Amino acid sequence: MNPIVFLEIVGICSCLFSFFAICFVKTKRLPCDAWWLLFGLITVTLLHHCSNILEQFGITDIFDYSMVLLPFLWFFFPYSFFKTRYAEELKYKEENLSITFNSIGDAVITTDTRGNIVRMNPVAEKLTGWDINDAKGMELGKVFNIINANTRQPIANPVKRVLKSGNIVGLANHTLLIAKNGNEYQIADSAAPIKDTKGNTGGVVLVFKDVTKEYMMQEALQKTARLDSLAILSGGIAHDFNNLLGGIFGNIDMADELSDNPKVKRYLKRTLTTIDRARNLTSQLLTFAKGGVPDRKAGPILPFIRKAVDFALSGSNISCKYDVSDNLWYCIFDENQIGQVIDNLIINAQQAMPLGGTINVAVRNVLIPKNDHPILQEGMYVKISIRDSGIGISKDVLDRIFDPFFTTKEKGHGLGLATCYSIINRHEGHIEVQSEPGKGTTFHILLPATSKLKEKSVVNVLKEHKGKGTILVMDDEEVIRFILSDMLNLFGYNVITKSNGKEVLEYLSSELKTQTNLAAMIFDLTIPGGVGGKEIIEEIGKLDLYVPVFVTSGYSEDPIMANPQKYGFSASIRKPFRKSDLIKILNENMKD
Amino acid sequence: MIVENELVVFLQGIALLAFFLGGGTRIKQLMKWRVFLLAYGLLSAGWMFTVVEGFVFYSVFNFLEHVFYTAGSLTLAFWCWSVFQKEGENVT
Repeated sequence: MNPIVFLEIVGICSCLFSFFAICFVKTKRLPCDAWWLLFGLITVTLLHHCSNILEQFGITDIFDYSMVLLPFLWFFFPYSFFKTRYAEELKYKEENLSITFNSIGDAVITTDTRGNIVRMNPVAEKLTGWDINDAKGMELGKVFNIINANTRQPIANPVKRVLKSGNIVGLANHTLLIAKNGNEYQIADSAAPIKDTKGNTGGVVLVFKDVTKEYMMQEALQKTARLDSLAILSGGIAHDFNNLLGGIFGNIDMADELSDNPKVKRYLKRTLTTIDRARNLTSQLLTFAKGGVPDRKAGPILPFIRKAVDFALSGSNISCKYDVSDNLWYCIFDENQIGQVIDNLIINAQQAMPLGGTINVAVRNVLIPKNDHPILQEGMYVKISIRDSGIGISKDVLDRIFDPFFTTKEKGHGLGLATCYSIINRHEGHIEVQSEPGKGTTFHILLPATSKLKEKSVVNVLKEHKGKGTILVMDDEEVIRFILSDMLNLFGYNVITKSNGKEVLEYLSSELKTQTNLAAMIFDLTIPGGVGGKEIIEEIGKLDLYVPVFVTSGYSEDPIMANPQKYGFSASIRKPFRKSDLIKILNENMKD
Repeated sequence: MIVENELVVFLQGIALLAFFLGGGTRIKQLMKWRVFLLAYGLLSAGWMFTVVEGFVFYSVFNFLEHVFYTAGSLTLAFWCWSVFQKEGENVT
C-alpha cells in the first residue's frame, strides 16, 4: 500500500474517532458553540485527509476553502470555549458570592481603592438607609456617616485609614452611625483591606453591626453598678438614723398620748410632723440605696397618677393635659414608690417651666415583643409619658441625669431622679428621657401591667387595740424595746424583751413550758453582729407555736419586709413606726 | 510550485501558534492543553511542509506533510478521548 494512502486512512480514522468522542461521550459541560467549533475543526481536518481522494473526484474547492478555515477554527474553538466557560463560571461565582454576601448577618460594604462603594449587603442598606443602586460609586463617607456618640464630632473615614496603612482598622467605642433618614445606630465595626494573591490592595471591606441594644444594656448595667456602690455607703447610715428616729418617734408619740397640756400637745404634734418628714427622707434614701422588693399590687394607675400630679401641681401656674388610651391595663406597682417617682418628675417639670405652662401626661398600653427592648422582658406594659415645654436638658447633662448626687440645682441633693430610676428598675420597668434644649423634656416610664385585677382585701383600720397575754419583743436597740413595751402595755399585754435572737431561743426552750399565754412575738429583722429575726424564724417554726410573729426593720426594701408571709412571719412593720401602725398590724393579725 | 492557499494557511498557522504560545489566550487553562497544543503544532508543521514541498524535495516533504497531518489528527483524537471520557469533572 502507498504509505501516503495509509497515513490518510489513519488520519481519517483518527478524525472519525474524534467525532465519536465528542458525539457519543457525555460532554454536558462543553459549551454549545465551542462544541460546534470543535466539530468544525475535526470536519476540516478530516477534509484535509480526504484531499487526495476528493481530488480524484475533481473536488478541490472544498478542500481549498476549508484549509484556509482550519487555523481559524483552531483559534476560535479554545477562544469560544474559554469565553463561554469563563462567563458561566463568573456568573456562578457571582451568584454564589451574592448569596453569601447577602446572607451575612452583619452589615458589609466593600469599596474600591478610591474609597467608592462597590457592594452593600441588605443589612448595610437597612442600617445606612441607602439602596445599593443609589450608593454604588459614591464615596463611602457620604453613605457611612459616623460620629462620636459623646462629642458628636465626625469620625475619620475608616476606609481611608485602611488604604493608608494597609492594615485592619477597628472603630473606637461610642461610634454612632447616622442613617440617611436620620436614625442613629450605635455600631461596632472593622475595616480590612481586600488583597489579591500578590498582596496588592484592591479595595476595602467594611463590616459593622448595630449594637444599640447592647450599648443601652451596658449603660443600664453601669448605672445600676453606680447605684449599688452608693447603696453600701448610704444604707448603713440610713438604717442607724432610722433606729434613732424610731426611739424619738415612739417617745414623742407616748408623751403626746399622756400629756393633757394643749400647748405641749401642739408642740409635740409639730415635732411629730417634722420627724415624719425626716422618716420619709430616710425612707427615700433607703429606697434609693438599699434596693429590695417593692410592695407591689395590681391596680389602675390612672387615678393614682391624676391624684399625684394634681397634688404636686396644686397652687402652681402650671396646668396638666392628659392623653389616655382606652381600656388601660392595670399596673403592678407600689403606690408609695411610684408616688415618689411621679412627684419627682412633676416637680422637675415645674422647675423647668418657671413662667408656667402645660405638662402633658400620656398613658398608653404597650406590648413589648421578645428581644425588642434592650432591657425589658417581653410582655404587657403601661407607658407613662410626662412631657414639659420647659428649658430642656443639654446632651452632656442628659447622660448623667439618673446618676446619684448629680444635680444642676443649687439646693438639690441629686437623689430625686436616681431614686426614680432605682424604683422603676425594681418594679421591673424602665425609665428613659428625651430632651431638646429650648423645647422641653419627656420622661417615659414603662411599668409592668396585667389585664387582671386581684381583689384587695379590705381591712377595717381601727384606732384602738386591746389584747391580753404576753408578747415577746426582740430588738438590739434599747430605746425600741422600751417604747414597744410601753405601747404594748397600754394595749393590755405583758411584755418580755430580749436583745438578740440567741436570747429568744434560750427563753423559748426553757420558759415556754411554763409560759402558756404567749400571744405574739415581735422581732427585729437584723441584729448587727448577732442573731436577728431572719435567722431564728426557721427555729421558731419548729416549735409548734401558733402565735403571730411580726418582723420590724428600717430596711423596708428587704424582701422579707415586702413579703413577710413568704418567710414565715405574719406581718412586717417598718421602723420608725407610730402607735397607729402597731395597732393596725395587731388588729389585722390578732384575734381576741 | 507554491499554492497560494497553502501559504496563507501556513502563515495563519504560524501566527496562531505564536499567539497561543505568547499567552494571547488562556490556553493553559484548557484541559490537557499540552496535548491540544501538540496536535495543533503537528498540523502547523504539516502546513509548513506543504509550503516547503513546492520548493525542494517534493516527495520527501509531501510525505512528511502527511505524516505530520496524521500525527496531528491522532493527537487531536487522543485529546478528545482523554478529555471527554470523564463526564462531570471540571473541564477547565
